[in-house]
Amino acid sequence: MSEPVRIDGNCGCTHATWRVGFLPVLLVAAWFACMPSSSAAGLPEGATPKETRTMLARALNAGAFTEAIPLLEQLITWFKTSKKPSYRRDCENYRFQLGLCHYLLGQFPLSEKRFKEYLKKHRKGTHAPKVAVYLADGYRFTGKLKQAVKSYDSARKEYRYDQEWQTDIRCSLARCFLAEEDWKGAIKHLAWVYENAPDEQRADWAVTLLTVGYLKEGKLKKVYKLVPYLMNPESLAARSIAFNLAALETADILFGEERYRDALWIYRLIYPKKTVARRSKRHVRVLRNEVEDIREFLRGHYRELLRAQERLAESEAELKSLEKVPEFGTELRFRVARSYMEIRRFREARALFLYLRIELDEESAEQPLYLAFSCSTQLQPWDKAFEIGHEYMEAYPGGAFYDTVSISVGQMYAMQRKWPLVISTLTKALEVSPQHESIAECMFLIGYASFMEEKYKDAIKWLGDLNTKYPNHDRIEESTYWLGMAKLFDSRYKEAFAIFDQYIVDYPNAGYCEDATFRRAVCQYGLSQFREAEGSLIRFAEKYSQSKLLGEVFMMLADVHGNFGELEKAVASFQKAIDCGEQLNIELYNYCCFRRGEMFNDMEAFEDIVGHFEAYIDRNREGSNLPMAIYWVSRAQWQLGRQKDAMDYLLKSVVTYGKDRKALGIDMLLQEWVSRSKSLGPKVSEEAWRQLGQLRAEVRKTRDRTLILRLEHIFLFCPSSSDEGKALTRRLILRPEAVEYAAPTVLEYIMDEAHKDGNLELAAKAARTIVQDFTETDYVIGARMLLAELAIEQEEYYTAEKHLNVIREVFASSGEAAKALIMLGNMYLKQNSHAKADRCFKDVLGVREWRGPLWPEALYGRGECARSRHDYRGATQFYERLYVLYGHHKIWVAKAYVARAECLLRMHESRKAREVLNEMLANEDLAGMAETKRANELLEVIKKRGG
Amino acid sequence: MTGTRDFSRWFRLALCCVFAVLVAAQAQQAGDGQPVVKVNAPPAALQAELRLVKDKQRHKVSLIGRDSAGLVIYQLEGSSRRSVLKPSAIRRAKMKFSYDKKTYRKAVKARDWSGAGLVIARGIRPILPFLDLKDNNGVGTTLRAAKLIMRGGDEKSKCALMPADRVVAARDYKAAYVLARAAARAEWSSRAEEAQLLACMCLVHLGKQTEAEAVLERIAEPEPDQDDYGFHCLARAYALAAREKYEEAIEAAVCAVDFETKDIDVFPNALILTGRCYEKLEEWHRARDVYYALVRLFNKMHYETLARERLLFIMEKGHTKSDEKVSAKNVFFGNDEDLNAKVNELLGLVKKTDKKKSLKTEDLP
Repeated sequence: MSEPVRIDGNCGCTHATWRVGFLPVLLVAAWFACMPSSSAAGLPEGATPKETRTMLARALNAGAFTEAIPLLEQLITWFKTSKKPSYRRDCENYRFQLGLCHYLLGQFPLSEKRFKEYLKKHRKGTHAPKVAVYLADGYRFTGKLKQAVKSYDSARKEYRYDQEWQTDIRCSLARCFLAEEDWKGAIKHLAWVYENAPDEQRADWAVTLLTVGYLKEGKLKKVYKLVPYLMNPESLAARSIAFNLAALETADILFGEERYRDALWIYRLIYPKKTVARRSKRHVRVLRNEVEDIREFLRGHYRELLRAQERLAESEAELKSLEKVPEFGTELRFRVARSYMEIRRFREARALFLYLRIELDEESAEQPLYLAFSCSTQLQPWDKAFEIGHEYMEAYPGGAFYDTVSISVGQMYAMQRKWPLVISTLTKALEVSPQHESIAECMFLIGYASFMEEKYKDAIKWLGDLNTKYPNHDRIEESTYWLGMAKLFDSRYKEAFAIFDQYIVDYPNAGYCEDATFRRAVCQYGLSQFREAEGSLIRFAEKYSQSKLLGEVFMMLADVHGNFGELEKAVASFQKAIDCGEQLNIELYNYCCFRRGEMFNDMEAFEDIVGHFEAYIDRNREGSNLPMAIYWVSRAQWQLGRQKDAMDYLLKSVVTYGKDRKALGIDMLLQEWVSRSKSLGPKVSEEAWRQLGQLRAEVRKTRDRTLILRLEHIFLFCPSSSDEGKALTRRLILRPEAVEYAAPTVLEYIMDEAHKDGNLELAAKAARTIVQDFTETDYVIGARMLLAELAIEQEEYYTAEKHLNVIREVFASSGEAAKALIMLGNMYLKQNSHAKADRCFKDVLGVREWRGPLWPEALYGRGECARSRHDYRGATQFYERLYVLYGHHKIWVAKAYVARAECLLRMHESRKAREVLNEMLANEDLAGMAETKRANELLEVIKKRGG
Repeated sequence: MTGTRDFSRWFRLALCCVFAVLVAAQAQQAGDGQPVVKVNAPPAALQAELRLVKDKQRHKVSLIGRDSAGLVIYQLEGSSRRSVLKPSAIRRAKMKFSYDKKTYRKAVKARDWSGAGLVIARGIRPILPFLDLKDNNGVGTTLRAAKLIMRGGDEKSKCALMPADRVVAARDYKAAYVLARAAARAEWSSRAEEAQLLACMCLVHLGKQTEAEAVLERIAEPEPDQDDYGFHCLARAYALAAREKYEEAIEAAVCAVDFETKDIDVFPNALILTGRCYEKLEEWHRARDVYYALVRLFNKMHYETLARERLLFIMEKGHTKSDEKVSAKNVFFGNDEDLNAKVNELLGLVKKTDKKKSLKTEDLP
């Protein structure tokens, strides 16, 4: 495992080693020598044939072949001349047994002689077929392979054998050819055995060697056909080093030839050396038991014994040859993983590379980890790629693939528009690897991401550095454009103008050229060079008449005209912009439409306003602000003296759009209706409210709860409604069932009124509904504030913190954010989190816009924080600052005086405390406040102490 | 013919029931030590040769059964006296059992895997209560029967991913489960865990994922070079796929394929599962690759039939017609092999000559 993984070259195993596995023939002979045999006792003198026969039977039964030989020879001598058929039959048996005894004792020259004698005398004898095979076996075991083959062939021709014996002959023939490395010769016999062997063991043996043969011959199709037969843990393939090395060699060649799929299929058949050794050892144990069993239980089953012994000898030879083979398991897995990767099976490749990552030592694991990352980049989602990429960058900061991994991670983040991650990843990459191989790309991406994050100064720094240090980098054209953009957005119009101006000259055919031309004009506009901008924009519109930027161009042109007070031209340009349709995004479209409306208003062209906004309403593009348009139409109608039409139009629109509780503008329209009704004459106003009442009655019939609630809510503002009527309407609205149908204005009303009534449950329900259903609106501020207040009351600080944090983060510039911070500060103070509390108060004091009642409160909070930390000196400074700087905030001033005096007393500065309290009591503005009572109490205490 | 088939069906059902009763009784015995039956006897005395720890003699005996304490009840050859023996006193047990080899071969030849497995199962029924005896000769055969029956079930259910789609083979999985559970009791054997994992797979196929997951949780994960590692990975892959965690299932399946367990009942099944998972993930190119490999490597087996069917579906729907999307830049994988063409050729959708012609036409300037 400590060896580094190599990609190229083979695994270091040559196929010389596997040859050992095919040469067990001589080893078998050694086995015969180990056959149990009693010491040669010699022929007892004067024994009769009958006694001799008995002794022979006993010797054979005990496997004492040496002892049996002289007995057999004696019996043959006695009976060889006999004419009696039974004796002749006996003599034939003795001759066979004599040959067999020599054979089983490994005395092959003697067995050969005896078997030849047998065949000469009994060519058609009972044992002749077996003798022919034993004779050939003898040649094979003594290394006379050619003679053996000849003998097997002649035996096959001359005699008929059953399946068992035929299989034995074919196996032996195959072994003869294999010993001479004649694969072609061996294959036909192996194929026969594989198809005809009566037992699985021999078939399995044949199929494994057949596979080796096909691998050697490069016949892959035939190998694939045998794959199912190799899929067996007991298969020879799982134990044969010959098979595994041959497969490894073939697969390596295929891999080298970039035939990855074939290579993979072969690699997957291979077992690592460790497994081969383990299984071989186990198999040898099993075979030894088998041989032992046959000897013990199947006496006289010589052929079975021979087969088992031959298998055992082969297995032992394989086991021995294993010692010379180096371990190739890791390399094998690496190759399998690489093959998967090359054929785009990235999931499988990654799993294996990650396995290797764990398996190998830290140094060698670098490459697999990198490749696992490479695979992950090909698989969506990229979560795992990011995880592995970061793991690599953490583990191998100076690694060979660090630059590749870091830039890839950065690029992938960029593709996902995760700009902060692009910035953090690549900035760190450049710190770790200052000579990064893709340094320009890194700088470009950081600059681009900074632009996207609206960090224009950072973008300018990175892109500027890039262009200065690497003026010939691949992305110079893009980086120049984005540098211009960053400067433009950073309001550095002059510099941006210069960049775009040069860009157009340097890259006239670039993709960004058209955009740069437009941006150049924008810079002129930004520089208040309106006439120049006008010229540039008109030229742009002529040159790029099909440009997607035309909408923006006309919009800006309209602004330029507006700036010169050329309203006619401006409205015409706005119209051209609007005519660009979808090319103009919805925000700009809305801007153009409403700005055009405003200009008509300035021109007092009220009919045009009506027409313009009616067309806007008809177009109804997604994201259109229809309530605002309706407002404009009704307003214009009002201006045209068509008050009734205006009021009717508003009501009609309310009915049309008011059923949708999420149509926020409807509430605005209703409020507009109410305010307009106030400016009508009393009779007309009354008539208008009567009509609204009629409408409410009609809507009630439809049971459209949202619209009903909206209209009921509006009737709370009806001047002619009695207090009882209003109370009734209020009760109607303040119901828990109403919450789920109520529009946000109504919900806000429910929340506030229920809170006032002390119905906290209903108030909270309404607030939660606002938060849940109108998350993105300003209505949630009040709702979250209320929920936070309630949570603090119930000491559910986590919930309160969640709501307050949303307010301070999402609505950061609103006054509510300051209130949220104050609340958070007070809450943290309650929890003794002084540092957090102090930070909140400090944040409030840091925003100039929040000056007012919140600053003294925040200052007082900071004093309280210091006091809680027992920093009485610090606290007194805050309190003093408060009453000196914010004297008109009486409540806080009084509190600050008292708090300062208390702190001074804690510091045993009674004299100063007395002065502070006297100063407070002398302040007439503070007379009668609750704090004065506390001040007097403190003075009493000081007096008692004798201060 | 119909009558014979019906009879065969009834016989299998009866056999399953007997096994189920046996296993239930054994499970209860193991579970609370309060057996329902006092002696868990096999149907007939089983001839066996026992070698004991204390001596090296072979004792020819008839195994009668097990008593409530799990002791082996036996009878010495030629004696009518029954005795009991602790299982731990036995060093080696050679049980005499056989099955109808002719019928078995016939079933194998006809590729009726369940049938073949059940033939063995019928023969080995007497040995099931004794598989825990040390170094006995029955575990391998029992596992073989279980695997054959499972293979039959897989073929019937087309190796479906979801247990609901494997209902057609529920009876096979139940029978295989009984055998595997019996083999799993052979704790002395290196194949006990393999048996447990087979049982676990059966549980997943029977829709008992929670139970299977609990079993998997209990089994220590084998090392990759252990024989049962592939079974463990495959069982995990099945469980994950049944929970619709396809990506994780593929990662488990790759371990079943690429480590040392090269078993005919693991390797192709893991590939089929991978292919099916890729289909679920709509990674059609990868599914095609896997099925193509199956057709090429496991021809004339039911895996080939199934893989061909899936390949045909993918090609006919044109799922792999478009080029593959490459997700990131600067990646150097470069294999220009046109597998669509190879698959079409394999499925006989395009004649070799046509392909040559089109190539020639493309070569024209």
